[in-house]
Amino acid sequence: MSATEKMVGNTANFVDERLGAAKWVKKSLNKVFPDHWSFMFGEVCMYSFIILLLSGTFLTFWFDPSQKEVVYNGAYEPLQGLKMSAAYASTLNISFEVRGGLLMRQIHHWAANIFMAAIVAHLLRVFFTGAFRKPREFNWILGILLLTLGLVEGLLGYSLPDDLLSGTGLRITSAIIQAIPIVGTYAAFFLFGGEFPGTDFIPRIFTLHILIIPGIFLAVITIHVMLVWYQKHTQFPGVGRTENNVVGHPILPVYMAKAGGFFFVVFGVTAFISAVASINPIWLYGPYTPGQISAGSQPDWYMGWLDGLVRMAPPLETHAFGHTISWNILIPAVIVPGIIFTGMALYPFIESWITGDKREHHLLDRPRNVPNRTALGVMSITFVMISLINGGNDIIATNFDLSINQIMWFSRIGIFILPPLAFIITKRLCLSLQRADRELLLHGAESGRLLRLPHGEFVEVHTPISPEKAYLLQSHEQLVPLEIEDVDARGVRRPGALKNKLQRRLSKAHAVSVPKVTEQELKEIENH
Amino acid sequence: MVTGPQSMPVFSDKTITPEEKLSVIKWIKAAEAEPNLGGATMGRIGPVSEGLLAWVLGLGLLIGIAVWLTTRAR
Amino acid sequence: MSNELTPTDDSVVPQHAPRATDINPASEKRAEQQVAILFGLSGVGSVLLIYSYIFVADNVFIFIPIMGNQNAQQLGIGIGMAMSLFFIGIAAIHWAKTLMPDKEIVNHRHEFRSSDEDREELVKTVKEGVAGVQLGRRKLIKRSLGAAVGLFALPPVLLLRDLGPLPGKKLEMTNWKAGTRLLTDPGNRPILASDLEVGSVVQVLPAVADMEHRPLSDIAKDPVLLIRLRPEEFQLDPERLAMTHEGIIAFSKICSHMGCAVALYEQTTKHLLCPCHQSTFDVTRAAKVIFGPAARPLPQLDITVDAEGYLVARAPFNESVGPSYWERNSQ
Repeated sequence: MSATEKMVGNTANFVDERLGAAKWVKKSLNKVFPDHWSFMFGEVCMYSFIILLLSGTFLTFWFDPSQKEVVYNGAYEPLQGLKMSAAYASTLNISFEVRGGLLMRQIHHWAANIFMAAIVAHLLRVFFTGAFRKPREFNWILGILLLTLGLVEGLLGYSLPDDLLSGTGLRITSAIIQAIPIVGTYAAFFLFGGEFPGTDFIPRIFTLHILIIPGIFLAVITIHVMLVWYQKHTQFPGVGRTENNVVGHPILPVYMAKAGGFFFVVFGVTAFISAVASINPIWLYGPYTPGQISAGSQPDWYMGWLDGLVRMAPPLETHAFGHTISWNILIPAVIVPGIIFTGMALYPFIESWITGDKREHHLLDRPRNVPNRTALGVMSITFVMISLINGGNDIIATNFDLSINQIMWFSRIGIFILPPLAFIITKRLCLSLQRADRELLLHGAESGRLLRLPHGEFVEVHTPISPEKAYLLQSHEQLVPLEIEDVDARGVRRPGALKNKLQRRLSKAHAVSVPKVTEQELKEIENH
Repeated sequence: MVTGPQSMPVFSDKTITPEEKLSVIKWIKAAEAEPNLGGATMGRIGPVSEGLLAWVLGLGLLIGIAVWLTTRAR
Repeated sequence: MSNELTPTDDSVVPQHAPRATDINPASEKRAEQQVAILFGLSGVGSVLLIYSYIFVADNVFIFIPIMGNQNAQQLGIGIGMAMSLFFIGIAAIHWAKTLMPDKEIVNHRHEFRSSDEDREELVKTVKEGVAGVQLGRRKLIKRSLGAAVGLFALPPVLLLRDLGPLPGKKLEMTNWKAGTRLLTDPGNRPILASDLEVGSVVQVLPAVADMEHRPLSDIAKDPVLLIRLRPEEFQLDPERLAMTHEGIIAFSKICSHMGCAVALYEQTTKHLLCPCHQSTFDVTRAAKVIFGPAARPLPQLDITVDAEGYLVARAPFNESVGPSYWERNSQ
C-alpha cells in the first residue's frame, strides 16, 4: 500500500467510524448523470450563483451601504467635489482605487446577467422536453420560485450603488407599489421609511440583497438539486434507455472531472467577459437625484420585458369616489406578470389535467412529438420578446432611425397578434417534423444520388438510417385524447359538464400529432 | 444651448449662466474623450446592449463549450 | 431496420467504439501533452494576474484593436483571472474526454411509491400520535391554545410598525406655497420674467429655508419646469390661462405616470417627453397626454410675479404631483 493510499484509508476510517458513511459514499460515487449539452444549463445557473456569492462577498468588504452625504475626493476626477451618498462614493472607490475592484464589480454584474439567462434557458429546456412531469412537479415550482427571486435579487443588487439609472428604476418600483389599491401607499411608506426616496432604502436593500434573499436561495437551490439527485436526472430516449434506468458516466471520475471542469469554464468565461466588456459604468451616470434623468433609461434585461409592458400599456385610470386606480400600472406590472408566473408554476398540473396522464415520466420528449406544448412555449417566448423589444424602443428608435410611435403601436398590436400566430406556425412545424421523421423511418434518408433504372425511370437512392436512429424515431408515445363520457353505464350524468367539455376539447387539441409508424408498416417496407 | 436650434429649447444666459454652460460642455467633452474604463462598451448604450451581450456572447460561448464537453472524443 | 432493438434487459448498454486514445499509444501520449499544455496556460494566466496586480500602475492605458484604449491593470488582472480559471476547466474536461474510462454504466430506478405496508404503518403511527394529543377531548386546552397562538401572531407584525410613518397627507404636499419664489436649479437664483426668452425652458425649485440641504424626498416632488411660449400659442381655457404669466407656463417636472423626471422639451412641437416610458405631454394644452401610458396631465403651477418682478407661485399645486395612488382624488 502506498503512502497516499494509507493516508486516505486512515481518513476514510476516521470518518466511517463516526458517520457510517462508506455505504452512502460508495453508492454516490457510482451515481450516473446522463450527458447532453442541454442538461448543462442548470449547472451554469448553479455555478453562476457560486460566482455571485464569491464576488459579492469581495464587494461587501469595501461597499458602504449608507446614504449619508459625503463629498467625493477620490481618484475619479470628473466627480471630485460633488456631493453624493456614501454608497455611491464607496462604489467609485471600489471601481478606481481597489485593485481588481472594477473587475469584481463587473464579474458580479455579468454573472448576474448570465445567471438569469441560464435560468431562462434551463426553464425552456425543462419545459420543451417535458421534464416537469410527475414526479418532478414540485421541483418545477421551486424553479419558478428561483426565477422570481432572481429577478428581485438582481433589481436590488444593481440599485445598491445609488446611481442615477438604478435610482430611476427604484422610483418606478415605488410607483408600482404605491399603485396597489388600499394598501399601496402604506406599503411604499413602510418599505422606503417614508416618502420616496428617503434615506433608508440603501441599507434596507443591502440587508435583503446580501442576507435574506441569498439565504432563501441557498435553501431552495439545495432542495432543488437534492431532488434531482434523489429522483435521478431525466434522459433522452435511446437504445438501452428506459423509464426504469439511467445511463451515463459514473460520478467518479468522469462526471466529477467534467462538471468540476465546467465550473472553472463558467467562471473563466464570466471573468473574460468582465475583463473586456464594460457593464454598469456608474461614474458616467452620476449619483441619484430624483430631479434628474437620462434618455435611454432601462432596467437590466430580465426586468426589461416588464418595462416594455408598462410602456405599451394604454393610459387607463379609474377616478371615482375620491379614489384612483391606475390600470396603466397595475395591469402590466402586477396583474399580467402575476398571471404568467402563476400559470407557469401550475403548468405541470394543467398539462396532466389536459392529458389525463398520471404516470411517472423519466424519459424526455422530443419537442416535435408534443406539438401543442412546444407551440405554447414558443408563443410565450414571442410574447416576452415583443415586450423586451418594446422595453428598448427608444434605443432602437435612435440607433435604427425609426419612430418610437410606430414601434409602440407595433408592440401594442403585435403583443396580441404575434403570439397566437407563433403558436399556429410552431404547431404546424412540429407536425411537419413528425412527418419527416416518419419518412426517414419508412424510407431512409435521401442521399441525393439519382439512379437511372433500366426502363428509364429516375429514382433517388435512400440510405437506411442507423438502428439507433430508427429506435429513437419510434420511442415516443402516440398522443391519445382523453375519453370522458358524459353519462355512465346507468345513464347518470357526470357532474361538472362544462369542465369536462373544456378538458375534452383541450385534450383533443393537445393530442394532434402524426400517427406513429406501426409494426405492420415497417414489415411492409422490409419486404419492399 | 443659447439659440435652441430646431427641437432643442433655448437655455438663456440668465437661467443657466455662461459659466454653468461651459461646465456642461466641459463635462460632455471630457466624458466623450474618456477611455472606456471597464472594457468595451458597445456604444455606451446601457442595459439593453449589456443584456444582448450576456445572451449572445455569454450563453453562446457556454453552450458551445457544453456541446464540446458532451461530445465523445474520436 | 427492425424493431429488435427494444431491449428486454435494461441493464445492457451498447458500448461505444474505442477512442483513438484507447487504442493508439501515440494518440494517448499526445492527449496527455495537450492536457499538460492546457494546465500550463492556466498557470500563465495566474502569473499574468499576479504581475498586473503588483507591477502595473492603474493609470497605464494600452491600445487594443477594436476596443480602443483600455486600462492595462484592469485588463491584465481580468484576462489573467479568466485564463487561470478557464484553462483548468478545459484541461479537466479534455482529460475526461480523451483519457478517462469511456464506459457508460446503468443505474436502476426504483418506484418512489412506498410499500402498502409502510404506508399503513405510517398511518397507524400518525393516528396514535394525534390521538395522544387528544385535542378533541381537551376543549379547555384547545381554546386557550387557539387564543395564545392567535395573539402570538400579532407582535411580529407590530414590531415592524416603525419601518415607516403613515402616509397621511404627505403625498399631497410640496414646498410650493403662495408667494414662494421660483429659483433656478442649479444655482438657486430668482428669475425675472424677462430672463426667459420665447422657446426657453428652465428647471426651478422652490425657495425654502435651507437651500443647500434639500432633502431627497423634497426633490422628488418639488422640481417644476418653466417654459416660455408666445401667448397666442396656448390653447387653454381661461382658468388655466390665468395661471400663466406673459406666455410663461409652469408644470411639475415629476411625471404623472411613475414619477420620473420629464426632462425632454421639444421646442418645435411644444411637447414634453418622459424618457422612462415615452409619455408625451402637450404644453400648449396644459400638458395634456397625447402619447404613452400616462393617464393624467402634469399638474400646472399657478405663477405670477412679485413686487420686485421675480417669478413666484400664486398658490400651491391644486392636486398631488407624481404617480397616482389609491387615496388620490383625481377628479
